[in-house]
This record gives sequence, C-alpha cells and structure tokens, in this order.
Amino acid sequence: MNRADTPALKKAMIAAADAIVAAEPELTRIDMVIGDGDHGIGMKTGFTAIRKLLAQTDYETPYALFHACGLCLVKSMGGSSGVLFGTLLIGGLESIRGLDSLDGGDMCAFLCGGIDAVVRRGKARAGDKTMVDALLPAKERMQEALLQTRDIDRILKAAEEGALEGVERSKDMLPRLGRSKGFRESALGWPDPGAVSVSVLMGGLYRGLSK
Amino acid sequence: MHWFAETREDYCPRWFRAMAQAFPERWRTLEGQEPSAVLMKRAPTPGRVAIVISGGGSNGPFIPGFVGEGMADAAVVGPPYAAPSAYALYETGKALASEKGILLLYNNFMGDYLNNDMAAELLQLDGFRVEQALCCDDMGMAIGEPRENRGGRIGIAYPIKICAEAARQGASLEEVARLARKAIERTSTLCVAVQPEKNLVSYGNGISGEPGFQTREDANVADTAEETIRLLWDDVKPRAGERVFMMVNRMRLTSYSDSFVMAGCLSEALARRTCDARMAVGGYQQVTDSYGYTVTLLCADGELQPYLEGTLCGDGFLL
Repeated sequence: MNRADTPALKKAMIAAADAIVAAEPELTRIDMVIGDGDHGIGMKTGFTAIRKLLAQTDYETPYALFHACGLCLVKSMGGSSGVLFGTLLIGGLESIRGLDSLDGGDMCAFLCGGIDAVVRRGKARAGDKTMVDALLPAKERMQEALLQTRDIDRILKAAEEGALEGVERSKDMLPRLGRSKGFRESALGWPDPGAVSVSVLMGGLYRGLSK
Repeated sequence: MHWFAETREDYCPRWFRAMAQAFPERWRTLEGQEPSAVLMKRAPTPGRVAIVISGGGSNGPFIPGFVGEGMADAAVVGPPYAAPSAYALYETGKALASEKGILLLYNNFMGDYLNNDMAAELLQLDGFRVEQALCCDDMGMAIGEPRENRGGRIGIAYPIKICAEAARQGASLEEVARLARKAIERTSTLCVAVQPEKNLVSYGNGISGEPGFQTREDANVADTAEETIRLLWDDVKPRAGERVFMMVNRMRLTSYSDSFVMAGCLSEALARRTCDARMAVGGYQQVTDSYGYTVTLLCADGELQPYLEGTLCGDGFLL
C-alpha cells in the first residue's frame, strides 16, 4: 500500500488504540515491578478516550486527525506520559499540514518529527530505559526502509520492528533518574513499559492499516 | 491544607472560584479545567503581551495572588503540589488570545516544564506567538551545577513585576521574554529555616522538605542575617552598576513582626556591602510549614531598574 487517506489512517488509529487498551494488563504488570505501577492505567485511559472520540468524529485531513488524538491524550491522561505520547502525535504535525493523504515518506517525516520532539522535551538519552529507547530504533528503521520504498505500510512495519528491537535492548538497561540503586538493579531483565507502549502503538497502526 | 487528602481533585478549582466570588471586580475563573484550576484578571488589557504564571497548587499568595494589574494576566495551577495540565495552560492561552503574544513564566521543575512546553507547542500550532521563561533562583538546589539546573522559589516575583511593567509599556513578546530571562539570571533565593528552641539555623532547605546544605548554631538574629547575606552575595556576585533588590518572605509559622525584625537585620548586613539596596518584606509564598524565611536578592542593571520602580499591591503583599 503506497498511500493512506484520512479514513484509512483513522482506522489505523482505532486499531492502535484497541491494541494499547488490550495491552494494559501487561503494561501494568511490568510497571508494578519497575515503576509506579500506573503506566498501563494511564495509557488505557488516554487511548480509551481516543477510541470514544474517533467513534463520534470524522476528520478532513490527517493533520486534523492526529492533532485531535494528541490533544485527547494530553487532556485525558495528565502527567508526563500524557504529555510525551501527545508529543509523539503532535510534534511532527507541521510536516503533514495541508496533505489529504500520506505516503511512506510523509508518515516517516510525521513520526520522526514526533520522535524528535519527545527526545527534546523529555530530556532522556538513549540507554536511560525510557520510551526513547524504542523511539530511536523505530526512527532508524523507518529511515532505512525509506531508501527502499515509499509504501506507508512498509514504513510502519519498519517502525514496529525497530521499536521491538528497542524493547528487547531496554531489558538490559538500568533506569537513570530518581531511583534507588536496589530498585534500579531489580529493573534488569524487564523492558521499559513506555518502550513497550511505543511498540504496541506502532504495531497497532501497522496492522490497522494493512487490515 | 489538611483537606487536601479528601478533596485533592477539586481543591484548587474551589479555591479559585471563591477568590473570584470574593473579588469579582479583580478576578474571574476559567472553568472546566479540573483537576487544574485557572484564575484570570477580570479585564485583561488588549494590545499587551499576556503573562501566564503556573505551578503546583500550594498555600499562596503565590501563585494566584500574583494575578492582577501590574502582575500576571492568568495563573494556572495543578492539584496541590502537582504541575498544571498542558491542556489547561493551552485553554488559558486561547482564552487570553493576545495578538502580541503570550509569555509562559514559571519555576523550573520537570512537570511544569513538560506541560508548559507542550502548551507552547499547541498554542503555536494554533497560530499564537509564545515564549517561555523558567525561573531557577533556588541556590540551595543543584549546588555546583549550572544555574539552569536549579529549581524555582519566590524569586519569580521580580520577573513577574518586570514583565508586567514592560508589557504595560507596549514591549514586544521577545523583549518581555528577554527581560524575564535577564532578571532570572541575576536572581538568587536562599531558604533559612530556624529552630528557635535550639538556636539551630539551616541554610538552603528545599521547597519539598530537602535538608539544607549547612546547619549552624547562631548566636542571634544579626548573626543569622549576616550569614544569609554572605551566602547570597557570594552566589549572585553583584556587579558594578547593578542595584540590589532584596525580598524577605516569611514562612508560615513566622510572625509578621518577627519578619520585619529579621528584615531589619538583613538590611544592616546588606548595608555593609552596598549603600542603595531596596527591600520588600511580606508573606509572598507560604509553602513551607516551618519557621523562617526565604531571602531573595536580585541584581538589577540600568535596564531592569526602571521596571522595578513603584510599589505594587498584590493580594496581601507589597512588592
């Protein structure tokens, strides 16, 4: 599939939201061990709100669709996760302003803009065991794939693959910020829940589009 | 305070609503932002840069008491001690709809930064002009690190005053933001917590109860005042041509009279170093539930000084 119009992208967002909601028990289980335990519930709240919004509303453009979804996360989730996942959907909007449909190159530019915005805003570095550790390999894989194809489904597939690689690697990472040493070490062997959420989101977009 | 646990979600909205009820000629609220809360100037003046201050909800008068003529156009707070939501900040910016732009002015904490930075992006996508200035005056935090790693205290009161006056005179958004950053760069605040029964004084206590960087047995108030000024003076290092402005903020258990006696001693200690310092005394930010003060020094150069002339009347304080 080369391009996706707004209804197709909306279908992809719905699938991504369903995937996040379905992943909540797993996200909660991981975050109970290595975080505050609230990541899964926060994500479920935000993406349930998106699901509800999309059931009621149609959008004219991809820009309007992703803008509304990003705002919805910021409004419904609160806390840093709401801001950062909202940023992922909002930070790259300028690159798709005025477009009626997106090809793989547009999708790559949109997601990479969001990824760069999350990195800048969240101030986390690669290896800190955060969502950034899934986002950066996703960006790399998308940019590599773009050398071969401008098909949007293949770009999203590459994003998911990169994110999953990042999830695997995050298992060997120690969390950096604000945690005790004993706590930090007990996180070894577990992936970062934010990174897992990124992979679920990318995978949901990919499968929603190719369905 | 003790109601927080029961009514955390709507404590701040109820607080601001009652402020607007009590003084409707001065304030109104922007409703529907729970658990954040928004207090706005009753009549923002069109044609000026709008100033939005924000942070965690706490005892006051900072943050909402700094909304009014000569101060901010709106205050946005989260639940007690938590950052306001980006969405509430965004809605506030839209409601102010200033053609000259919006300055988001707030203390340097991670949650406040994330939400203000997000709100700035959302407002910019909607076509608004936005600048941010982060106050990092707490010299007790991030010792030995660059100033931008410090948290913010009540030193932010000075950039609020400076920016409001600059905006009133018609300055551009870039100009107002530049003045804010210049003032922030030259402002330091030291927390001085006193245990009177033991004559023990801690210097540099954090806003969330972090211990100070030094604790001493001080012989008397003058002794404490001298040490306070010595530490602050070493931190801001006033330069030739700068005038020193001092703000003495009493913490919650400190009496009105005690705070002036302390301020008098601080003023004497300051007079041993400079002859034209200006002083303000009051309860500006009564966060910490202890006895003592925060003392702020601002070194204002010839450009900043005119914006600090005059005394502004906030809600229960003079500055």
